[in-house]
Amino acid sequence: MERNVTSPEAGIRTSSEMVRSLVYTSVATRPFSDAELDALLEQARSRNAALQVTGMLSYRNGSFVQFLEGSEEHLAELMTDISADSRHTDVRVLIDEPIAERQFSSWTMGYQRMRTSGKPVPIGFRDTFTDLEQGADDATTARAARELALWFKVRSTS
Amino acid sequence: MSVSTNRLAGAITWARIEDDFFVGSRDGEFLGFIDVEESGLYVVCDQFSRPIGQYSELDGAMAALRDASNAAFDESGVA
Repeated sequence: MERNVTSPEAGIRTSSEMVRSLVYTSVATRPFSDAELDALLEQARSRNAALQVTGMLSYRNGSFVQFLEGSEEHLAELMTDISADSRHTDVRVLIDEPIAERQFSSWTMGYQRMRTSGKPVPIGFRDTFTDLEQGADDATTARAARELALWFKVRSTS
Repeated sequence: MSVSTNRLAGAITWARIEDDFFVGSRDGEFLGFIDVEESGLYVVCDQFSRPIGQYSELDGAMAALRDASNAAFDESGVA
């Protein structure tokens, strides 16, 4: 059976607006508990729904990677707020580009907990999250972003 | 003279997203992924998320994805 990695719910529908995709990393100013992450997600989902912004958040060992999709105006507004949020620092935009369609149309802010036990990365493998954290070259960043988006969709539907 | 197009396929970049989820890509093109099920088996899915096999070891799963992508490359010139 095919493993369905499409969106599970009806999501935000946008007309012919120009949509951009923005991916950024940041560092938590202190470790987030599960309850704090839940609160952050709830706040983000409410704000994003109002702005017709969709996306996904991932968090590992004090670092965030966030995907946002929306109009240029709404993303700029959002990034102003995000940059001023004292819960994180070192906000770095990795990707900011126009897209033909949203990848996360069903999620105002999707989230999947990463299963990481501290096991070393197998020899010969890259670590996707580290590639994004370190802001490598454009090709590496683009590949790692695609990998993380794919992982999220698989985990969200399995 | 026939030439195996496999020889022209670039190297696969392997990446780990979390403990039990791996992705293969070549020249920026997504080839497929390997997901570890609760049973401990490594399930290999192609670029269309279609399962193509289950393996007890990561090496076997990687070889299966490599073979599948090479076969696709031979057919179309695109992995």
